Amino acid sequence: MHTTVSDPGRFSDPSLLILSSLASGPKHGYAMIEDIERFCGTKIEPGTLYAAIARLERRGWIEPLEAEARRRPYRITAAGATALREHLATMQRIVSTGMQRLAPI
Amino acid sequence: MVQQQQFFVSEQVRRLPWLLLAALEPGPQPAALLLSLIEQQTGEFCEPGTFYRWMALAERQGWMERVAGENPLALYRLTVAGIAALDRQRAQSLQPSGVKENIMRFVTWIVRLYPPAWRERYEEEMRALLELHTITLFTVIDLFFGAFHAWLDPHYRRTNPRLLRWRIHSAGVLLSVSLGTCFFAAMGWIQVSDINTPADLDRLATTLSPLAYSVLAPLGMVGLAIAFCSLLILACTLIAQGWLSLREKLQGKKEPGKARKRGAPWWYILRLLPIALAVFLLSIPRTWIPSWLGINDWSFNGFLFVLLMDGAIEAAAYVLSKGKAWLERNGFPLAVVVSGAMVSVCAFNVIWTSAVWQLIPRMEAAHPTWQWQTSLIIQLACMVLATVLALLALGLSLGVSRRLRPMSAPPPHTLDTELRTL
Repeated sequence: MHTTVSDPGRFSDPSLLILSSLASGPKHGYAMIEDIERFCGTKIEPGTLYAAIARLERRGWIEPLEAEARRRPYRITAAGATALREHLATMQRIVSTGMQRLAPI
Repeated sequence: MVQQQQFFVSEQVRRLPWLLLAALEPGPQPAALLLSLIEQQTGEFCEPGTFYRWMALAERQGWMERVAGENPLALYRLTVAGIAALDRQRAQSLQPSGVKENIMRFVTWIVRLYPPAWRERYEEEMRALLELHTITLFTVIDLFFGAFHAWLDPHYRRTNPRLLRWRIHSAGVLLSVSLGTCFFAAMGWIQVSDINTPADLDRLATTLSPLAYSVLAPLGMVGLAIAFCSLLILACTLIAQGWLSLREKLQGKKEPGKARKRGAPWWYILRLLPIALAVFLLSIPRTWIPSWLGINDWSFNGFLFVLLMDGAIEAAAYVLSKGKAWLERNGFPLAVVVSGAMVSVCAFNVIWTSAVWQLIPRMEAAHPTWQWQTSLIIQLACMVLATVLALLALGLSLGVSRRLRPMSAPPPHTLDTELRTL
């Protein structure tokens, strides 16, 4: 995973990005990479992507669909959506707290 | 209800009809919505006439198909051929095709570094993704790290079945060589101890301890029976192979699906000649053999047992190559049998060596010649070699037994298994 200097992708986790990408609908690997690059500016490399996909699949947070022409789409499961929601809520709290504390500076 | 979804527009698909196919990637869309989607994504006005002409072309090519309704509200979806065409278009890059091919070959090689269990599950889709992806140095480094990481993951650490087959095969060959070496050593010992008649056996019985004799005599009989069977199998195998080879030669074609490459017919005839000679020499009285041929008990027995060893190896290799499918199904029981055979060979060697050791002082006085001493050294070396080979084969077959046992467990990569383990 490599990013430009100013983008927020430096602080992101591939699993979180994949779950966020799949939240909008099932996608195959290439579509995930393109989608993540578009909404976050981070270009995930295939090795990192599939390491994260394997982890998420084993946790039951995403599941594979039937392959189409060598490409296999994945979709987020209910457990995955719950995990993503909880993680984003935590991040939301961090963001709001950080912004509040930064305001006087 | 059809939801409006964004689609992915890269440089390679920034033209109709690829834009059209890319717009259909998220799911079926009505034609009217497709047009507005493309205009939104590209920021350019698209002539309806041009758009519908391209749609007709894509439909004729079988890249998209109508699901329901009539234009402009007809619902279209992407076909498998359309997905493949889109992938091919995306895979085209600015790199020259030769360079691209070499890079792809290299990254495909890196993907092969992943553990077999991982590759069974993800290799195909990973390769499809790499064909579309722009390969950079980061990609290569990332793949290397990915492979390393996957090997560290115990989930994917599964033994390659081909390696297991190789180990079983090697254990079988080592077993044959070990047995052959044992027979060679045994024959040398029999030669030195002058066992040619039943009276010699009686003499041996008085020389050896009763326990050693009671073990050695049955083992010797079993050994001779196995040696005879080896010779018989070698002769039958050579005759069968030679006949099949001759038939192929005469018919001018090879039988399809034969993994084993056969030699020329003359090769089998040449290999049969020593067996025919041995049988001939065994069947005639020794007095008929001219002395100038130099065939005495030593040379004849040596010649016979080289043939026996060849027979054992040939028979084992033939059975193993023919029973490949059986080997794959019954790898574990076979490994257990080979392990058992290895233990027997090791025990046999230990008993034999102790018996020879026991006889050394007595026979030294009776045979103070250099031939006897050389023969004794060769015998002991052969026994040590046979024991080492048997131990090696034992290690291999035990390793196979240990690794094959978990194969009865369900495959680890299914979603159901994953959920059960959570």
